[in-house]
Amino acid sequence: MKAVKAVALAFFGLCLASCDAGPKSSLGFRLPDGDIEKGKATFVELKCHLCHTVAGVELPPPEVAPPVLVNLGGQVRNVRTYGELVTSIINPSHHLAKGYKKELIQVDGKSRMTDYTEVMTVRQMISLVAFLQSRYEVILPPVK
Amino acid sequence: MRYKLSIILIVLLVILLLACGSGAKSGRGFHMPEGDPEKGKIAFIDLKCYECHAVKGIELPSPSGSAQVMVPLGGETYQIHTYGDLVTSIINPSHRITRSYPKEAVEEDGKSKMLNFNGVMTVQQMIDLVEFLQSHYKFVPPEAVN
Repeated sequence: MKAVKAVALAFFGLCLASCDAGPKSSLGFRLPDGDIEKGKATFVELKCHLCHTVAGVELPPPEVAPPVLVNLGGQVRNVRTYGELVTSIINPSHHLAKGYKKELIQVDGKSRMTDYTEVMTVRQMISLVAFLQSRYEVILPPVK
Repeated sequence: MRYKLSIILIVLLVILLLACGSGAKSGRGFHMPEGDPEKGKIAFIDLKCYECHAVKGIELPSPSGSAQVMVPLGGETYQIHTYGDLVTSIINPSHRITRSYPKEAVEEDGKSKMLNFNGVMTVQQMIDLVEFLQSHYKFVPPEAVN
């Protein structure tokens, strides 16, 4: 019985810790609503389509062939949160895309994605996030 | 008795898990790149934030006096101001409006009176502002009461 209590306590601790309320944490993060259509326009304006396709969205064909086209949107097992999408846009090295050859998407452990933080407005970021989030579809794993 | 306890435990666990908030609009996975507090101070002045905000311990240009209320930022706090909190306060000020002032001074129709800077502020300015502001909060844990 004591062991059960200890396990329960440890589990509680883990649950609390996983919320991670440190100064650099995401706690309290809440984006204002974005405009999906404006997000799509921003996507093309900032030329994201030169290196990314978006599931179910028609975009101008890239004028220059990129080393690799990284697909966005489509079916995923876990919901893509606003937090994750913002991070991918403004801090792409934090979490590199899976399923691609390392040398194609990173140099010295850093993402090869261009840094847009100096040219992108906050509103563009918010619209982009709303646009991208709308293109992901969460599917449940197949029942065996 | 044991049955009741397990129910309470399960309910508590569910609440805890929900509190983490991992829905589509949640901040789960948000990780800001490092900002530059010096550039953040410059952005603070460029965007004229000082017209309505003083920052504890920082010398800023004097406001023109058009603000109805000055909302000071920084200083000692019992609650950690996370990057998440600060980003939200800057780009989505109506989400959580300060409660230290009379409502009519800081809000109108439930919206914050703070100007919306999202159309003119670059993402880099936002990052630097967050870094600047966070460096001026000092977390003071509440003193234990015997």
